[in-house]
Amino acid sequence: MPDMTDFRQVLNILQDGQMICNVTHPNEFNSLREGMEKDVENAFKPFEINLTFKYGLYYLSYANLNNKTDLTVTRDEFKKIRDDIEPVIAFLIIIMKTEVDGSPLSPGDIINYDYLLKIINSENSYQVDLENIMRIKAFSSQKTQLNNADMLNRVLDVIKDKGYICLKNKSKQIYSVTGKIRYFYEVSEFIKQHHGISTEDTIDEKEQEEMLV
Amino acid sequence: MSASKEQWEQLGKALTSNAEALSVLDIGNEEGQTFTNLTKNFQFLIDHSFVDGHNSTGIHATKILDDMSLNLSLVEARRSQVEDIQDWFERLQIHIDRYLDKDQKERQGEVLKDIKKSVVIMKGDLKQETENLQYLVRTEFGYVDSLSQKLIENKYYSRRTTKLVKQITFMTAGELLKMACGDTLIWRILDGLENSINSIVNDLGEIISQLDNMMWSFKKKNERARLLWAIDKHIKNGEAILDVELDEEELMDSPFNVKAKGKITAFIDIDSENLSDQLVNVVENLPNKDVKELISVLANKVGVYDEDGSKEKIIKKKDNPFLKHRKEFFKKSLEGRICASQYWDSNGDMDLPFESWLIWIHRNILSMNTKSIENAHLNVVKDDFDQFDGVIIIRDLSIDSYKQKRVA
Repeated sequence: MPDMTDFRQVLNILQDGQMICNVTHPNEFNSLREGMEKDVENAFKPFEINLTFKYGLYYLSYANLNNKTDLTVTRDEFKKIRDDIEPVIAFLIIIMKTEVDGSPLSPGDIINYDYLLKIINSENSYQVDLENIMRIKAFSSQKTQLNNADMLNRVLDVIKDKGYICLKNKSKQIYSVTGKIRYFYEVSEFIKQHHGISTEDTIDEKEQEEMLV
Repeated sequence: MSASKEQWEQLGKALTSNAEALSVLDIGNEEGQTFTNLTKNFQFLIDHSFVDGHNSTGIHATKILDDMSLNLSLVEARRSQVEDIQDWFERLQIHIDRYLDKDQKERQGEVLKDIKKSVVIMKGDLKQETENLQYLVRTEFGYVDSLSQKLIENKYYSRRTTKLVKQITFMTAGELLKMACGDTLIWRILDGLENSINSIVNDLGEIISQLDNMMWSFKKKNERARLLWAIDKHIKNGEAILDVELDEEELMDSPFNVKAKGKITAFIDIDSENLSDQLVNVVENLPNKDVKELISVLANKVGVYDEDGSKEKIIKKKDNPFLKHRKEFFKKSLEGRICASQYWDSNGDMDLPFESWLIWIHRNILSMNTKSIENAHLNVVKDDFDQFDGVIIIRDLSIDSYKQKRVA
C-alpha cells in the first residue's frame, strides 16, 4: 500500500487537472515512478479515467468519451489548449531568438528574468518582438505605458499561469521550464499534421555538411 | 573577386599587426574595448567595417569579424592532435627493425631513445585528443551558434572518434608482441602503450555514446525549433489554428484527451458482475471526504459501509428496509412495465433515499438465479447525477415485462 498522505496528494493534484512532472512535483513524480502508478490507476478506474504517462508527464485522460458530459468537457479543454497556441508560440520564439544557438526550451531549462531583460534591452528587434507579443489577447494588460520590464513580467506571468514555467526563485525571478512544454510540442506536432504545415528549411543541411567535412 | 591585390595585402597587414587586440574583441560586448597599442593600419579595419567604434569610446567587433573568428576557431577545434596512426605505426616498425638490426649495434641506444620518444608522443597525443573531444562534448560545441551547425559538428566528431577507435584498436597486444620480436626492452615500451590504449579506447567509447545522445538531442531540438517557426509563420500569415470541431475518435487519439480540472463522475457498469466491488472501490479510493460520507450513508442502508472510517467492508444483512419492497416491485414489474423510480415514488419509504433502493434492487436482481429473472431484461438509464458530487450510478432500471412474458 502506498503512503496515504502521498497517495491522496497525487490524487488531488491529478483531479485538479494538473500534470505531474519532475520539475513541478518532483516528490509525487518519483512516488509514481517508484510504484504508486498502479494504485492511482485503480483509484480512477471506476470513473473510466486513465492515468496517462506520456511526454515525461503524468496526467488524467478519458478511457472513452461515450458520456456526453466528458465529451463536452474535452471539447472545451481542446478549445482552451488551442487558444494557448498563439501566445505560447510567440513566447517560445522570442526565447529561441535570444538563445545563442536558437534552441527551443526543454523541461528543466532555466529562464532568468534579469538576464533575459538585459538581452532584450540590448537589441532593438527583440524589443519590437516583445511589443508585438503584447498585442496578443492572452498577454493584454489593463496597464498602459508598459516598459520592457513590465512587458516581460506580464509575459512570464501568463506563461507561468498556463503551467509551462514555474517560479523557482521568487526574489531573483528565476523560472524553470516544466514538463508541460513537451506536451505543447506534441500539440504543435498535431497542428502541423492537421494543417499540413511544412517545416522544411531553405538551407540544405546535407550540402552544408559536405562543404564543411 | 572585386578587391584588389593591394587591398588584400593591406587587410593582411592590418590583421597581422593588430592580432593581439583583435583576439580580445567581443561582438557581444556593449561597452567596446580601448587599446594602447593599435597600429596605424587599424584604421583600415574600421574603414572596411571589420570593426566599428573609436579607440577613445570603445571598439566593437562587427559581424564580419565575428564570422571570421568563428571560422578560425572551427578549424582550430577540428585540427586533430593525432597524426595518422597507420603512418606512425609503420614508422615505429622501421625504428624497431633498425634497433633489432645486429649490423647497427652502435646506434642501438639512440634508436631506442627515438622509439621511446615516439611512443611517449603518441600516448600524449591520444590523451590530448581524448581530452579535446571530452571538452567539445561537455560544452556541446559551444563555439558554434546554430543547431544545424551543431548537428554537423556532432556528425563530424562521431565519425572522427569512431575512426580513431578503429585505428588504435588495431594495435592489439598480439600485434605489439609480434612487433617486439621477443626483445624485452621493446616489449616493455610497447606494453605500456597497450595499457594506455585500453584506457583511451574506454574513454573514446564513452565519448561516442555521449555524441550519439547529443546527436539525438540536437536533432530533436532542431525539429522542434523548425516546428515552432513553421507554426509561427502559419499564424502570422493569418491562418486559423484548429478552427474545427474534432469528433470523439479524433479527440480520444489526440493530445487533447486530457481530463481537465473539475468534478469526476463515475459511470459504473451496472451489468457488471463485480458491481458491489466496483462501488466499494469507488468509496475506498475517492479522496473527497464528503463523497465518502455520502456513499457510506447509502452503503449502510444497502449493506456495504465503511465502519469507523476504516477500510474494512462489512455487509450488514439484517434489518434490511428494502426487503419488503422486493416482491412487490417484481410483481408490479411483470404485470406491466414499471421502473424502479416509479415504484419508489408510489411505494417507497420517505426516509430512505431512492438511490439506495436502486442499488439494492439491482444487486438483488443480479444475485437471483431463477429462470424468470434470468430472462428479464434490464433497461438501465445512466445519468451524471450532479447531486452526487463525483459518484454515480444508475438513474433507473426496469424489468422488461414484455420480454419476460414472451419467453414464458
